[in-house]
Amino acid sequence: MLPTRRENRVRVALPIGDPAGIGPEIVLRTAFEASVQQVIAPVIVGDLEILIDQAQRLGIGLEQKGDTLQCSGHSADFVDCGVVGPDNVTPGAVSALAGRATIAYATAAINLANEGHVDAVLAAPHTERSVQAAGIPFSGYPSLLAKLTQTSPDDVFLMLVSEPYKVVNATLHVALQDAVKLLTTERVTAAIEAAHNALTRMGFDAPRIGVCGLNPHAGEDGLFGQEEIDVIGPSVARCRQQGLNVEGPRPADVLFAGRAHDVYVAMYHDQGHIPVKVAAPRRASAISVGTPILFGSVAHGSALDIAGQGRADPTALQQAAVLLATQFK
Amino acid sequence: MTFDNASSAPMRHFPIAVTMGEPAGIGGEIACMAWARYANELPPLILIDDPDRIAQLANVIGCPVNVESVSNAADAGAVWPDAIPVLPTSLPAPVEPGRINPANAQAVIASLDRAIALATSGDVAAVVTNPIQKSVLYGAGFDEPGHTEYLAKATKADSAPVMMLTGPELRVVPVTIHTSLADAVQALRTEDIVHCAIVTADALRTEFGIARPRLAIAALNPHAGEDGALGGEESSIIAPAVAQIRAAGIDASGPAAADTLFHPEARRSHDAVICMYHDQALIPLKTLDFHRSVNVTLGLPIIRTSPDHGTALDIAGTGRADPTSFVEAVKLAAFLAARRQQSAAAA
Repeated sequence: MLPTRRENRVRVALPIGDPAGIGPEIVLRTAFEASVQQVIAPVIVGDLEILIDQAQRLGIGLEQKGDTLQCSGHSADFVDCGVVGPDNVTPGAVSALAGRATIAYATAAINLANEGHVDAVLAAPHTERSVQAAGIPFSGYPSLLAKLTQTSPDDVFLMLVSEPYKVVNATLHVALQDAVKLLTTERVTAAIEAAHNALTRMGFDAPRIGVCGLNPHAGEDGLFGQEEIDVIGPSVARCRQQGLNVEGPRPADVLFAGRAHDVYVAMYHDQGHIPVKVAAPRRASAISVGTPILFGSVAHGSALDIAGQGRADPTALQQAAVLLATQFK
Repeated sequence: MTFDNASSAPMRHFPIAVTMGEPAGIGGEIACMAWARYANELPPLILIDDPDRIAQLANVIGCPVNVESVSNAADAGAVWPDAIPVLPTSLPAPVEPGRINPANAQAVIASLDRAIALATSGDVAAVVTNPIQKSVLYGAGFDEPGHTEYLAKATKADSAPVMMLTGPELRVVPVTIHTSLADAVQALRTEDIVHCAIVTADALRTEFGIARPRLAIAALNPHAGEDGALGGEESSIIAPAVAQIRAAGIDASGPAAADTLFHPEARRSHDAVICMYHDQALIPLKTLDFHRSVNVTLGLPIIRTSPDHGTALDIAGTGRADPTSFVEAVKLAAFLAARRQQSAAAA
């Protein structure tokens, strides 16, 4: 059982993501980073042996003391899930075991938030193939989050937060041709509302929302596709009637280049991720919006190619931690 | 990394033909602004347009220019940079900025045809096309989807030309272009990706002077499909294309997740990205530099570039148009023309 709240820092659970990815490394380098410790009280959720192995690889001392881990003069609460260890999980390798562990950590962390033990969850990256190998139906953390918080998956969206773009994705981890079919007036409307609510929670007054078209030139009046007329346009109109400060659908290339909005609503994964990563490839945070608990992750993946080598860049996770602690009320 | 297309291009005395484009759009005024601001830095242009309407338009937008009517392209070099040489093409109806008059559609096509003929005969070194309003031209005998296809037919190009967009920090080639996203996914074919890549690599080598062009081939789906979990086109369509492109001796990588191809480090690792659909190419290009990207048609017997924007009817005649992309299109045309002359001289 976790110690109860004892201070003013925001309590953030940090599930370590894929134990075979860069997650354990960047979690250690986030939880015990001085600038992060100033604003969050970390609660690491993972496997002790994996973390100790990772600490050895990084050449840093990590010690378990009761329900905490101690490192570089800092302390973090620790929840040991006891799923895997270095004996059965190899850095860089895809495996069902690693996939099962990833979901176990995230589930434990989300449950901590559900029960009020933490204020927010910040998950290190998963590996889609490992989760699939474990036979767990999963299309990204937001879907798991929806399930564990009894929220309709249709109401949970991923928002990328970077400079200069914040982008809510109306569809996410699906094939492009399926993303096109998933777009409905209800879904796009819900995404716009989620964008509005998230920005309001971040302190924006009447946030300016720019909605992307799906097709080239936003369809050019139906010349290159009907979705703007049939689906996206009606969603924008509906949100405007509710008083939201929303524009669109506009051609995505022009909209992002204009940089005139506080938040954008993208119709599919790459439409939102490309502009964010052009500017800030490793610094984007991803926040799930539309759920009762505050949940963040990062826009980069588990980087199996460099896992366990001490070469991972923890910047995005550190920034996401600070973002969760300081910008969401 | 930046591409400075003008730096190694010596000033030439050949003119570059500029088409009228949609006269109610911003084509005429961006040409006037380019002359007014940059005449001394640019090679001679020759507008194929109505000289009186150009002079009037320049006054309306508060950018007075000297217009000189010439009867053939060879006279342009003597007129520039003191005045803009114009090869007269008559407009049957008066032009009102922002308001399209179908009566002028034939003149738009005639200007384009004249430019193509002059380039084909070698009387101009290159063609810069101003934006057209396609819907108007479709009713007037222009029976191709756009400029690119029209030029291919008119110049009897050997194979389908390829559209490349080039900005200061990025070159992109969309394999599918002006079609709905759903149709673009359905229309994606291995042979089209291979064709685009081969034409692009060939042009980068012979026209742009990149000895061993490196191409990145973008994926279609998020995370490049994650081994089929998020879509099958990477394995069924794109990976076979990459294999064929490599087999053709081209340095190509991919299919790579599109959101990983455009950050500064990634941009240093390729000379162009072959993109699967319009926005995949245009979002990074415009995000990086909205005004300076240029459209260039690869695989034509003649050199053709154009500004990477539309007719902008909403601001036509106000003087608010930005000539930057047009100026970059002229510079790129001059660079490519100079290189063709050098290789012709060397041969």
